[in-house]
Amino acid sequence: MFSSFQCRLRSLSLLGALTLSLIASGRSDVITLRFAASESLDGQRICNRLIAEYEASHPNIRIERAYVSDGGTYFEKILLMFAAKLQPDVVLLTAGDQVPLATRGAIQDLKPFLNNSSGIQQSDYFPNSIEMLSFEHHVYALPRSLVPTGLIYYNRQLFREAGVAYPSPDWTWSLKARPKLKEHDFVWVMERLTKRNGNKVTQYGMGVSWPQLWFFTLLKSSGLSAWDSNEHPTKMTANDPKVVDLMQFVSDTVYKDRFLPNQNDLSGLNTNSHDQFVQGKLAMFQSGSWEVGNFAKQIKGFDWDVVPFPAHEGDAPQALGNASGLAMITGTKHPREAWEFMKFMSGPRAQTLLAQAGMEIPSLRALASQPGIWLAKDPNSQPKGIPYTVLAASSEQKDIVPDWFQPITEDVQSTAYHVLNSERPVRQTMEQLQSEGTQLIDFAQKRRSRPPYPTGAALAVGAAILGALLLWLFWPSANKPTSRRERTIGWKALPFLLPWILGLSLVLGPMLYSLLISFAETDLITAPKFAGIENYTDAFKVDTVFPISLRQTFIFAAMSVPVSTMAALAFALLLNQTVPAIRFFRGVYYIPSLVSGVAMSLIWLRVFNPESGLLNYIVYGPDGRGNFLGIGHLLSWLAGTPGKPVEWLTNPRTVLPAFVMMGAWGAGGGAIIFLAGLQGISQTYYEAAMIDGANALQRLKNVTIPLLTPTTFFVLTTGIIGAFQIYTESVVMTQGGEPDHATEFYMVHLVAQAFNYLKIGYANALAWILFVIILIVTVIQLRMANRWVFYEGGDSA
Amino acid sequence: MKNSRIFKIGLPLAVLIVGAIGFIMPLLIMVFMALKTPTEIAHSSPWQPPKEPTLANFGFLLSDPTFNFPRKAFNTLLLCVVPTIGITLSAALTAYPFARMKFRCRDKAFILLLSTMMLPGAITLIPGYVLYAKLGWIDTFYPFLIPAFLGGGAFNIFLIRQFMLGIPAEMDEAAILDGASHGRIFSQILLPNCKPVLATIAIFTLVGTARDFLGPSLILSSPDRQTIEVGLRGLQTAHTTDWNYLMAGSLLVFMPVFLMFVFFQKFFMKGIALTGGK
Repeated sequence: MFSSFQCRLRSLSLLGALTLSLIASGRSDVITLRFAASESLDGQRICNRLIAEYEASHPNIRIERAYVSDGGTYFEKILLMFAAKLQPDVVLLTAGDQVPLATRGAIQDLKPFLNNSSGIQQSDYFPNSIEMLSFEHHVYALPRSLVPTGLIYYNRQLFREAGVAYPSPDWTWSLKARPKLKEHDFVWVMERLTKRNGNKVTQYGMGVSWPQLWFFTLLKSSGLSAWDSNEHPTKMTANDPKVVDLMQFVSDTVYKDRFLPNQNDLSGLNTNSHDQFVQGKLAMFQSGSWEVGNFAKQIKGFDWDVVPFPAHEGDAPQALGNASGLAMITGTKHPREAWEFMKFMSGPRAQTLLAQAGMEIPSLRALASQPGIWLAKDPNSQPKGIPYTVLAASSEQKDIVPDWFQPITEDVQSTAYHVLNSERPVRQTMEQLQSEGTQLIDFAQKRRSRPPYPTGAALAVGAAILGALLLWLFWPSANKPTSRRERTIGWKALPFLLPWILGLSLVLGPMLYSLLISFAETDLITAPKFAGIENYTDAFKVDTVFPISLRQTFIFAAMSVPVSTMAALAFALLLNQTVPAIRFFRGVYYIPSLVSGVAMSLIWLRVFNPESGLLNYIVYGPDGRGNFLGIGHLLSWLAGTPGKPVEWLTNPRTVLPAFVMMGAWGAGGGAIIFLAGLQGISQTYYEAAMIDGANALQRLKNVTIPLLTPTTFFVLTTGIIGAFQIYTESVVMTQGGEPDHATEFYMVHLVAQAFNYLKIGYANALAWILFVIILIVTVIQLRMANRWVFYEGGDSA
Repeated sequence: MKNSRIFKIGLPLAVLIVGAIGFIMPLLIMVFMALKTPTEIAHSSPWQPPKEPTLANFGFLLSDPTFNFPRKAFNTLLLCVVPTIGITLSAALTAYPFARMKFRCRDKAFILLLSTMMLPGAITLIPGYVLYAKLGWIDTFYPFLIPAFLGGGAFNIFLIRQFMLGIPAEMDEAAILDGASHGRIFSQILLPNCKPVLATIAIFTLVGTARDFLGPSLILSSPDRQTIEVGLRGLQTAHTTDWNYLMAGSLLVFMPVFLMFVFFQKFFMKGIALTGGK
């Protein structure tokens, strides 16, 4: 007791002494710099270490950290910070992120700092790392790393077995086969390493980390593009004969020559190309530098190496890559200190730590070529090809386009996904991309000059809306005259409702703001402009995805709500039985709502896999030709692919039924609600029914179902609201909209508008259109409830 | 007689077990992966049990200073338990007048209540964030704690109201004749009868808050204020995932919630044999 008091006293005096010494040395004004970064746990560890070192050597500086590991959420958070004027001083950016921020004046051009700074020069960096973080000749971030994605990892053992010499960095590729070049021809190598047994491929020669990487790397490598210019695109070149030929080549490598597995067969863990390579079943695998660290840990039993992606015949080597760097927010109070901190966080010390951890390739030229810097933990496990990859990294590029062009690049991504996931007529697909992209460009280039947003008038309108709402609430109903008694009870309700009324301001305020901003053009960074009703008219007149997303959402809701509600009721009736361990079973049926989304997606990808999935195994048997109870042929016919097993998640006709099945599997949440409702039914009703001689079915029909109607009404109403707002499943399972916009649900479209394209005003207009739709559906439900919902405890609403 | 007993217990049990297999699968995958090394995960199917089970993944998460599990566990517990209490109580309080009292604007106020569910959260989070910033609540726990006591959310209020409407009105009418106040009817008649639905809301809120990623990662910044779910995302990057740690961590969140749900049921749920008693 005494000692702890003494201890406290001592620490107090220590604190006092410290404060005094600070004042004495004139450094009482500690500067706080706010730093935000998107970092994994390993990245956070290194950042923490660096910050501790920096604070130790700069006692007048304190660093406030904000890490968000998920890239999308990170960007959203930065935007929200701008909206609330809480923006940090220094942010970590990935190549491409600088465009939306720089074009809105949110981050500063670093050239003046680079020109006047000691100890650091632009020429110290690989030029491509600077380029990837620039826009319109301004440098917006100090490069911290290069992340090449044009690396080919190869299994040396499989090369020896096939009698093919190891690839050398000077290999090339071409659309036409060149057998004379042997191992110097990439296509020849893929061919030789693909092993077949009759019609079945037993070993693929090549695999890619994600589907689109294959198309975009080949496109970049042959110096082509699907649009005319990166910084100032004006037209699409997707139907250019050369681009079409390339896409045909991409399709052929998967469907004709079958050098690469169809990505559709390889969704899910342990069946994807990465894991196939680790297991020694894939000869070559294209991915990024981050795999070096993974493979060093995971690969056992064969030797492997890495080589840069081959150059296109006659062209300089060129592939896709990425970079990250530190940017300075405009208007920071301490630009000098921020600059010094940025230099440290992206300097040689930081880059060494990141490279040694096997995470990032240094962007500083002198550092990158230092032998052994990469993966210093275990120099023996270093593949010999590492020096080449550094070389390759210095030639890699990323397409830095203006942010209004983003929807078009996403359309190109989506097209590449389709061509790689299911066989399609290539020319036709590319013509469609051409016309869609051209439409999008026309729309985006119609920049309208708009007046500034009239904030004062908007506030007045907001107040008027609130007043009208109150008036509506208290306006006496025509057919229900209020009696004296009802008015008095009205006052008695107030104490019960007071917390809710207080909380309502936290809800209605944001709703009102959202309504007012839906008439604006705003991006959270620059001052809003007045758009009138154009956001609403654009949805119906210009936005081609809007009607599709609305239709798909309606179809999904119409299928999913009845199925999920029935499933939940069935589960609840089952879980309400008195059998042993019933509490445990209730827990088990609720598991789908408890486990993480990734665990869920792992399961479902395996269930829906067309070739090895559980569902098709049951329906079509192990050989894929069966016809379980005649369902197989029927399903194939309904899916529009007669004679072939259903490709559940990549066929636009079957993807929604697949989503409905997933919803039914997760009906445990609804079952718990029904279960609570069942608990509320008094046992006396069942006893009375039994005295009357009712059997189990009659009791269900005449007691349970009617007395459960208040719960059923709840599950239906909230189920419809939830189904209209479906979002996560699409993002986790089908890349947020594939195939052919079939899962581009309303909310998926809306969130993309808000946080990918920064059309916040438009997204709010979309939200209010959805609001009105749901409100109408709900009010109809409330009106109809009088007819079928039975309340024991009073009148209905 | 004996046959019918077997039928009454055996049949539902058989159906329950068949269904349970489908629901246990994700849990099984999580447990298997949490007990494997990264090498084994890369080399084996997720359905395969670990050959040499290891607890090292749990050991790493519990002891890693950057992950700081004790701190995150405390934050998570605080951000689960307090809102769960607040939401359950205040939702019941708000539901009562909507179910049991007559007042002039009740039905319209109810539509207003429902309408607060209809605007997507992704949109209202922008003005919500700005509002919290104005209140000085960013990077504090207040946005998670205080609103929980102010109404408890439309979904929960609506659910309790439906349940209360299913409770026979004779009970409180008798109490009114005895001169009981609304406060007493609420606390002594309706609340005890609402146990199953209150427990349902408590479990939903507990799961929802424990699994919440977006809220804490947008509003909280200091590493010391993070929750487990946010920390676990740090094990997934755009291209690689530390499945072994991720699954071990997910289990650390999953197990307490699951066990609580299984064991606390006996306080609020009874089974009714639908196929009949004696």
